[in-house]
Amino acid sequence: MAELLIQLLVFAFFISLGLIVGRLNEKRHFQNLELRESQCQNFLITQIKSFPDAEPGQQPPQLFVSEAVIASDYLKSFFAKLHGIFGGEMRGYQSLLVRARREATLRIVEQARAQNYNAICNLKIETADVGGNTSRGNRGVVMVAILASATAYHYHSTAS
Amino acid sequence: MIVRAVQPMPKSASPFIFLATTNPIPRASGGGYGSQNSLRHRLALYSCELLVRMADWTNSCVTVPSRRRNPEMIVTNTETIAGYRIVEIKGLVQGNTVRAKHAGRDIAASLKNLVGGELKGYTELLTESRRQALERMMSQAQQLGANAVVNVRFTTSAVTAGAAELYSYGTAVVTEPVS
Repeated sequence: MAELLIQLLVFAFFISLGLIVGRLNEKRHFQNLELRESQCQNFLITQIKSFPDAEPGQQPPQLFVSEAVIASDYLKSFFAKLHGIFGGEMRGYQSLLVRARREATLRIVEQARAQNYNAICNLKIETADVGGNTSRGNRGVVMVAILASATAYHYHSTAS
Repeated sequence: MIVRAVQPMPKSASPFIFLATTNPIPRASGGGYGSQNSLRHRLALYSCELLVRMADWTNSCVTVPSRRRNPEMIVTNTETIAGYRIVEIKGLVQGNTVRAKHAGRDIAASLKNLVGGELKGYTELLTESRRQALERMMSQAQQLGANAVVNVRFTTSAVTAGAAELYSYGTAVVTEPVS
């Protein structure tokens, strides 16, 4: 009986850890993302394969790649397990993916800005699998790994 | 994994410096160990830490120096290059690498999985392997006599648990600036 109680307590501790620290982490990350996105507002991001409004005679275009790996927290994993029984939309994991994608895109933009480019085109975003998490029998760490790549170039804005 | 250059060991990356630190959990804080402070737990944490440091140190000795990129080589993931004309196509070039993540990172990741957040160790692993794959691809392009690689793509695959494969491929071409 006492063992059961201890197990229950440990479970409650982990859940509350996910509830408090996990929520806080996510909120902080979203705030950080919004701040950094507002800093690069004039940056043109497209996924067109050619170079829209390119200005020749500048630096040659260059490939930039970035990665972001975001882990889930205990609460989200728990709710996901519940959803695994009843089915339905997993909102917790959705925000995880959104965070990872925005983070990876922002990292490309920041790298490109640091080298004086003002636009990127042909942005490709794909999920990576670190350590065979999608293979059977290995369900250790729940995480999202995103690999993004884009070509940076100079563009001449005609809107001004 | 090819040993190309052995970097001098940086002071901070010494595998034994952890003995001097007073805080037994410098990384992966916020785990489930919070209240238990017994000798056994301390020992376990110390050995985890030692593992992480040793693995980091060996990795830093073996990995390829990150910036060995040829500055004239233009690499893009588009089919054309703005301001340049493609004169000659040399063919497909590719580079791949399979890198394992070490056990220390696994421990840190499993602790991080309780509270959420970015897994820096895994991000680093991906960055390193992507660099290595790109460099192999570019050295192949250089051997063919190309000065640019266009339409570069990346794919990842899971070979075994605990390792990440990164494969990059593109078309090596010769370009010249449009006058």
